[in-house]
Amino acid sequence: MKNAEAAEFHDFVTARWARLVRTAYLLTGDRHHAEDLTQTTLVRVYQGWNRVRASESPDAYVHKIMVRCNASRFRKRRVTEHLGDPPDNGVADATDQVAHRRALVAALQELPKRQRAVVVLRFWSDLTERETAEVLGCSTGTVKSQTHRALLRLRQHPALIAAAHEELTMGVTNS
Amino acid sequence: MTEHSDDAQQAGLRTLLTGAAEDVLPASAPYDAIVGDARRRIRVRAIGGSALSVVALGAAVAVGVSSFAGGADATRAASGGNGPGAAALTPATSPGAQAAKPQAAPPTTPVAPFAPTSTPAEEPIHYGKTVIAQGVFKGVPWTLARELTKKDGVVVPVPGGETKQTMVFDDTYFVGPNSLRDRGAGGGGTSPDNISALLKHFSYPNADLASSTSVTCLGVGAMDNSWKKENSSPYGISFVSGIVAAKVARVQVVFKDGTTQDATLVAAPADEDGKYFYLPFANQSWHSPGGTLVYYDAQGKVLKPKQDAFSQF
Repeated sequence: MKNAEAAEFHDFVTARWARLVRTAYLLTGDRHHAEDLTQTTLVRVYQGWNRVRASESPDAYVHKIMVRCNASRFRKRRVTEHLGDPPDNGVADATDQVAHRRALVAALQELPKRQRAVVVLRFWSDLTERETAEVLGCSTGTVKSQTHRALLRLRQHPALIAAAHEELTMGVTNS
Repeated sequence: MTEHSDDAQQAGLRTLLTGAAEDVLPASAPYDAIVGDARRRIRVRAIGGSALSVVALGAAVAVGVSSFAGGADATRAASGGNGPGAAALTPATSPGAQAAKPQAAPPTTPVAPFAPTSTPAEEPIHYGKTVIAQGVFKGVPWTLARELTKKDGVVVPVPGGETKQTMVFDDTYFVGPNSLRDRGAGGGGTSPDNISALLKHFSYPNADLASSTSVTCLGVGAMDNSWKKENSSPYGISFVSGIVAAKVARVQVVFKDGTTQDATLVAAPADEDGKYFYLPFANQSWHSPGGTLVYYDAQGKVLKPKQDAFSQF
């Protein structure tokens, strides 16, 4: 890699690292796995940096690598996790909201991998249906159906019901 | 469910996902580790590719030999065949085989022996993470965890030079409220077949007594450009930690100002014969205050009594 490309890659990593770790966290449900997954993803990105930077949407390309790395994570390495839940965030926060968020992350992990990826890419990464389809290597129709199924499963979740209720309440209050 | 509530649910989902994701406060990107790993993989792939080429070449030559030896029928069939009796001809007497002879040019020895010498290094094996201890200090929750990884090709200094070995690394780290790895101590290399021999670290003077001793500033990994902010400590908490041999019954931390405190000892995970120790203490600086560690056996006798043999921190 030439110096200019290395500098570009450095800037890319610096700018995207935090966001990618968060995306990985939603995909894995574990903060340590999230760091590992992000690092593995960026190693692959480095290896194919010319392709990534030349692609129409580098971010979508990186998401594609991350989703694939996540899918193969447990196939390649027999990772045994003994690490308990990390301690709560030290910053004071509304207990209910923290509980809801944790419950949602737990509920996400119960979804099939592809449905989970669809939810994360569509509702956290804000990718369009077409972009999501590109990342997952499927049709937009599949993305729609996977989104529908994922939402059907999540909609029964108390955390999401409560969050939706708050959104509705806020909507009523604002109007 | 109505369209309105569907929208609300999707909005709620976005809000929750954003909140959940932002609960994670990542450390600075481990740029050097990423690039180092990528370069290593590229090298391994290049070696693997060369090995594959050699094997492919060997296979091609082997096919050539095979067709030289037994492929006369095919050659003959391609040229129209000579009738049923042709199959009984030996290659040496077959006109077809003679025609193929210049193409084959078989070597007298097989090419395969190249392959084993260029086998790519194996992927690191992760044995998993284990929580060694958890607690709350000055209202701040923390976790001490460790991770074992087996790596190939580790350069180890030995008398008379260096050698590459397969080793197991003990990566001990503290997890603060930011849930980040605040490195306690890397290293602790040992034989891959004996994880319990963590104490035999090649670079520690008290290899039979202690290993991987360090001071960790809790939460410093959560700071942007933490390496530039040498005078700050996010939580004002540091840890002295490390691994000691089973014969050590007490670890006393003697700070430079003369104060002393005993560290807490925790048995190593099952089938390992060492103990982990840790001591949280208030420290507003990123820097270690400095001091020594004194190890005692079960009878209260100081082990390794020479002052200069104690681990400095």
